[in-house]
Amino acid sequence: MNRELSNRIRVFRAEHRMSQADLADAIGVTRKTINTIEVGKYVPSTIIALKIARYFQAPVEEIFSLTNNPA
Amino acid sequence: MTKGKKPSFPEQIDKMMQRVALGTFLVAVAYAIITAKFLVAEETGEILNIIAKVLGVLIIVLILPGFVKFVNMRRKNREACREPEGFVIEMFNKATGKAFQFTFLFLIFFEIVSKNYLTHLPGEFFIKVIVSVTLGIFSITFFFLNRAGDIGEGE
Repeated sequence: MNRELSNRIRVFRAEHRMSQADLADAIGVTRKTINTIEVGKYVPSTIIALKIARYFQAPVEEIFSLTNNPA
Repeated sequence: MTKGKKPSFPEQIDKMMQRVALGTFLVAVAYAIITAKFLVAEETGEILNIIAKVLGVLIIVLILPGFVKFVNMRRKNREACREPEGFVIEMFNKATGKAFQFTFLFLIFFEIVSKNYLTHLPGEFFIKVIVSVTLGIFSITFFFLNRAGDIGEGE
């Protein structure tokens, strides 16, 4: 698990009733990529992060956040 | 992925990457076998030569059909593969970096060894060993890193 970056992709997927494969197809990556991002094994590129945010129509910082962010 | 569904383009790129890594590993093994020829008797060397040739055919049979299919797909789907990204590609790039680091260290090590110990062996031997080690480290690192991403089926 990445200690600095946390994400709420699982929550957003649940709200949209989507599987990892559905999200992967929607943004043009593999299910493995989504899976590893969700569990924090892979830190996505800015492009992937923005694609996910755009797909869920949410600001990127609502999906991804820094764990030790003092703000 | 839904069962029976055609794999997406990114999934196919990942599969191709895995095949390339497998092919690289086999090439590393072939080079190791060829290298061993320098260290054994001539008769054994002939046997190793045959094994290396069989391995070479196996590499072509394993990789070429997939590669041709991949090139065709890429030609038809240029837009989708303009910026390939994802976990497997990242691991592929990381493995390439690691292989380069080890190659550099190995070159330094071999520079010392070849001057002082293995002086009777030709330069070809050292080059083949380095190629084998580089490709071997790349493929093993890739498999190791890629395996770290196998974390269940997900939902």
